Amino acid sequence: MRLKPLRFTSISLSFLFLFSCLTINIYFPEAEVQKTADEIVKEIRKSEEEKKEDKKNVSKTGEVQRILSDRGTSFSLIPVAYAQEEVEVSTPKIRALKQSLKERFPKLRPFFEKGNIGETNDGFIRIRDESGLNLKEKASLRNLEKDENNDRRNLYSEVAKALDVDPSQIGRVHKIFAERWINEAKAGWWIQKEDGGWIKKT
Amino acid sequence: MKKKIRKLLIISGAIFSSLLILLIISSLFFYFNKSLTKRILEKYIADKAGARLEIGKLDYGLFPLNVQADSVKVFQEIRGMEIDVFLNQLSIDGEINRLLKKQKPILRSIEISGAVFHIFQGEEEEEVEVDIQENMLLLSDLFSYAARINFRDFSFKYIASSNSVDFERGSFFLSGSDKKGEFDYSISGEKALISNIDRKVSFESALSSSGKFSLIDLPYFEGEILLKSVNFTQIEEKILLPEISLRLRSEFRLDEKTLVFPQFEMNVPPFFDVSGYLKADLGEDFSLLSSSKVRFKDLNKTHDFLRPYLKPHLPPQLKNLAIHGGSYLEGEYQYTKDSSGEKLSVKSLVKLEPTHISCTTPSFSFANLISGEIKMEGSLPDINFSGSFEIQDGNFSKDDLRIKDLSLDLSLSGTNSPSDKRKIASSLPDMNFSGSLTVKKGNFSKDDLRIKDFSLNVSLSGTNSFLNASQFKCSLKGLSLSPEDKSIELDQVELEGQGSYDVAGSKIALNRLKLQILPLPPFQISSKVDLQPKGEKYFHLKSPKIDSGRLLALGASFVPKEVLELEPAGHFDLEIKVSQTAQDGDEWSFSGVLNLYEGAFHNPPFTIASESLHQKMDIQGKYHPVKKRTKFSVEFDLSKGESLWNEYYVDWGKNPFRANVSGVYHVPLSRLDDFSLEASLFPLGKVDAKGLLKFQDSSLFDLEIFASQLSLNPIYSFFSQEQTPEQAALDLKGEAESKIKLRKEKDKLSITGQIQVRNASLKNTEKEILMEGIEVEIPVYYENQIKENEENEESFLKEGYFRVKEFKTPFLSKAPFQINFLVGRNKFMIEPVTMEIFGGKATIGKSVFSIGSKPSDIHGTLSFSLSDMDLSQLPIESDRFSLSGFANVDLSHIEIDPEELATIGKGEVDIFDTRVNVENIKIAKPFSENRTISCDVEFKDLNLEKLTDSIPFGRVTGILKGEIKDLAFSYGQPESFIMNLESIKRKRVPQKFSVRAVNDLSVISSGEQTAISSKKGLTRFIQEFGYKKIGIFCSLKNDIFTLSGTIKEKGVEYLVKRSWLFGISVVNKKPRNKIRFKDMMDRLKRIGQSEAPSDHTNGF
Repeated sequence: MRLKPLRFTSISLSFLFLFSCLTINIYFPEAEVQKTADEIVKEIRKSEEEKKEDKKNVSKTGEVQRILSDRGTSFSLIPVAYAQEEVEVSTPKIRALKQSLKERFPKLRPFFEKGNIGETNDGFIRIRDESGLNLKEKASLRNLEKDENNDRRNLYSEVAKALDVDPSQIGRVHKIFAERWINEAKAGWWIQKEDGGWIKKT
Repeated sequence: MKKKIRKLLIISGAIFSSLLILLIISSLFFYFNKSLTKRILEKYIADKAGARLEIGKLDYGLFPLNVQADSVKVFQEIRGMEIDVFLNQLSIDGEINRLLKKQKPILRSIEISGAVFHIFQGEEEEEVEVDIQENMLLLSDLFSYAARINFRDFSFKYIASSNSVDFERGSFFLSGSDKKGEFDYSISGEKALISNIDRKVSFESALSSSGKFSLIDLPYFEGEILLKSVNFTQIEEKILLPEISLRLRSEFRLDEKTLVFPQFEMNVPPFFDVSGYLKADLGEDFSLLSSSKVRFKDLNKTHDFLRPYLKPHLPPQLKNLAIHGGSYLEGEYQYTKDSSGEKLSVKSLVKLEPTHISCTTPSFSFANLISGEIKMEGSLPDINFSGSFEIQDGNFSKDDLRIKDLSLDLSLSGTNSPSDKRKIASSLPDMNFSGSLTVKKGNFSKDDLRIKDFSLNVSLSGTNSFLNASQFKCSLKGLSLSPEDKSIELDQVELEGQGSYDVAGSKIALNRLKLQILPLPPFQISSKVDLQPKGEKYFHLKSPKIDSGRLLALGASFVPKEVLELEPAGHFDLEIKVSQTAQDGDEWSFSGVLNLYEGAFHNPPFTIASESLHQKMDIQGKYHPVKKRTKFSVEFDLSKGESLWNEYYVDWGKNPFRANVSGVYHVPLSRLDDFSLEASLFPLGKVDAKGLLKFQDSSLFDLEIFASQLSLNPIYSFFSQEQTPEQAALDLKGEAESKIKLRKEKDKLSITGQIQVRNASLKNTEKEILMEGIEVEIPVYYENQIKENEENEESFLKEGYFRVKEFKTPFLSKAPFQINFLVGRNKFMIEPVTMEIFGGKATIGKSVFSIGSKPSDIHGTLSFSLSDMDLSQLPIESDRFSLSGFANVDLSHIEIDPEELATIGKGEVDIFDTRVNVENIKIAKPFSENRTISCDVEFKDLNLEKLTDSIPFGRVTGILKGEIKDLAFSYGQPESFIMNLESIKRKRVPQKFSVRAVNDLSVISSGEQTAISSKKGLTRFIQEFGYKKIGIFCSLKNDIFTLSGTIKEKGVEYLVKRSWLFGISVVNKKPRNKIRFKDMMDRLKRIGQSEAPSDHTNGF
């Protein structure tokens, strides 16, 4: 009978010790998110010239592949494409969102250049200054902002889902994308600093 | 003869002597017997004069002649008048020889002391004509007997029925002068009192007077009268004057029967002097002519003197009145009365010398220098007057009103004969006046109103029945109005106008008033007001091009903060008319026009903004000030400009908005009854609303809204004004109308009614969808707050339907069909719908949907079944695919909400000699564009030959079993799956791969064809390869395909394993092979492209 309290105490202390040592680690694939963000943002922000250049390269690559494949007589399956193995994260939703963002970018570009909108530090765009715009242009810009941010929000969510990012870490995905958007911003575009202030990118 | 004469003379002498002696004796007798003399005298007086004389003691002497009498009483009654005289002592001195010679004055003096005169005037008998001249001569003659008459210490009392006169402790001295008939006199008395019988009115003073007079020939009087310690009492009012002096001369012209005062002067120090001339004609035709001058030397002293008497009667504000100055009155007054009647003529001048009038009280003060004069001339009733008044250096303050440099210049003229019989002040003379009123500097503050500096200039003219302000100018500077916590600051306000006041008619007319509040444009105001009860009243205000921004800047504190933040801009024309007629009763009619040009506003974040607005607004109504009720109707027309609401944009030029709003607004209740709205917005349609709105306490909106001619097409893309490609591809035609009852009380919202669509059509050129003859009737029944236990109590009460005459899609054509549904509170039920589709029958079972606290929070249950749908009828674009088989689906329970559509049940597709089971069908976010459809697929005996014959893939024979887990599609593309495929060996079923199939599999797995070609080398003779087993694992996740073989032998991974002797093996050299989605799509496109489609199994 006397041992019972002692046993209870010792068990309680053991649990307390165990819990005090417990560290919950939530996996966050930072490198993958960075790479994905890098690729997606670059693809969306690719200039028309860069896109034309890419098309040329693709056609050249296809030519090379055809030459190589014509040479091979083996039954083995050694795809040439393996040489360019990538870990780009994509899903139909991500592709659709990217496409939507790509198509919208030419409409957004003049507003970026005029300083009407800027890249925020959390991965979105924000209307900074509507001066010089008539009401119709304002409405147009607001629709663009709303649609762009909706797409971006969905994009971040889909990327996080594809990379098995814990929902609690979605903010980090936003931040990583924000860095990429800011990196890809052209000189003269407005970007938001970490403290919330705005500067023109030089 | 001589003797006789001698004898006669002797006898006569003797007789005369005897008589003389007798006379002497008798005289001596009388002389020494004074009591006898007294009695004889008393008797003599009684006989001769009818007066009762009593002499107490009589003494006299002849040499010298003197008489002393004590206690002399005389009583006489003459025509009702009782005269009672008592002389205490009487002393008469004279000379006997002058008496005997009858030489006047016989007496040297008459001295009387202690005389008391009592006269009692009883009821007067008939008036007896008195010969004044005779009496005056008699009196003059009487006075002439004595050289000097002296009364000492006498008193006099006269009592009549209505008044009395007292004169006490007086003395009187009368003496003849050198001039015949002229007497010098002096009189004094310590008390002279004249009063009426009840002593309510009395005059009392000490009196002294001296002078001379004559009662003969041309009777006259000339003397000075001095009254001291004057006490004039009227009722309880007393006026005490220290002194009144009179100096006058009067002449009584008996022949002319005129009394003339050629010169009279009266001095009431220190108040005023009077001098003048007076003539009275006392003949048969009475006339009075007076010319006088009155001068108030020191009005201040006059006022000081009068202050105690005036104070009770003056308003409290004037009790401290101070007047410094003088005034002057000069005039002639003539009154005649003859057989033709009475006539009164006046000619006068009243002149007020520059006089400083001031009054100071804690709340009221003024100080003015006033001067002026009034002239009057004429005969009653036609007396004309004219004059002028001038006020200079006026200062005035009352409460917080301060006026400096006030000046008034007024000229008057008129007559007292009322030409206008309507005059309300008929007692006033008919007056014309003209002048000006000027205030150079003033300031004013009252409660919340402050005017730092104002000036005023008014030109006035008119009559006492009609006032005309021909020019009115007022300048207000530094005006501030600050009620409660608000304030308005106006640098300068200018008023200029013209108006009139019809005193007789009680009408005010403001013909023109220009009110300019800088920097705003002027307001033109006119008004007519009949002040009589039920009189007509009219106000009109008009101002063009008011800058709304400046107007709001001026009245910023009176405007709600929310409105100011909108930064309204633009110009507007404003016109307001307010009137009240007899027909209106207590109500006021009002109307107004507000035309806005280039109007603009926006809130700070610019989420609401408008620019270049051109809008017209007409308002009309009636206001009942007692009931505080306004009936109004407003016409609103917005036909130009543009507006922005968040990202929604409207071009009012393209979409003009017109509205008529009417209602009855009860101000105390903040309630709008009989609210009616007729609005149209091109090209959307019309909306009519009627009902009740309450804005106070528990806000209430109870409206019946009827929308008609609602064009469906513009609704789709109205606010964006920019059509997306999807919107451009959509052609929606037709009209809708709705009848909605909307009731919102506090947070509780209820919407009931129905929406109807008639003759609508929908055409989507992109998706090739056509719906024609759409007829829809949707009952609406929604409440945002219902209790849970109420939810199930109500059933579906209202019926609706969706009817289409013709429905075409690239793969389906149906005409006509109808879907019926029932609507209950926050829920609706679609009745089962069955339609034939691709040779089968699809049935959507009873679908029940409920709406939560938000309309978007929708949840439903339904079922779906599909039986015997012929797959061969499916519209597959590519001729490289050909499917045959039947599909059956039985989803007995489907749960649907915005997040997910989940099913219980499965689908079965009988195809390729097997049954493909599809289970766990789900749709994530079913109502959004990025919905994901997922399911699990499983099959057991799939005939590969039939499969490969139906799809663009090289022929493969054999039996395959497989499963696809977590198959998900989004945007019409596979998103993920995990697939296992494995061949099953069956008797009499060959297991072969065509060369093309090998190549196709190679393309899929590696991206490249194998080196095997049916046209090259040895393989040209080989069309098919046998195989022993197929084992493939394939998955898709994140657009990465993995493909691997499940047959592993000696470290080699086979997708296809040949038999031990012949056949073909497909080896996966890269076990963790990952293929990007894009690559896979490219590979699939290339399948079969390298070889001819005719691919036959020839065996090997």
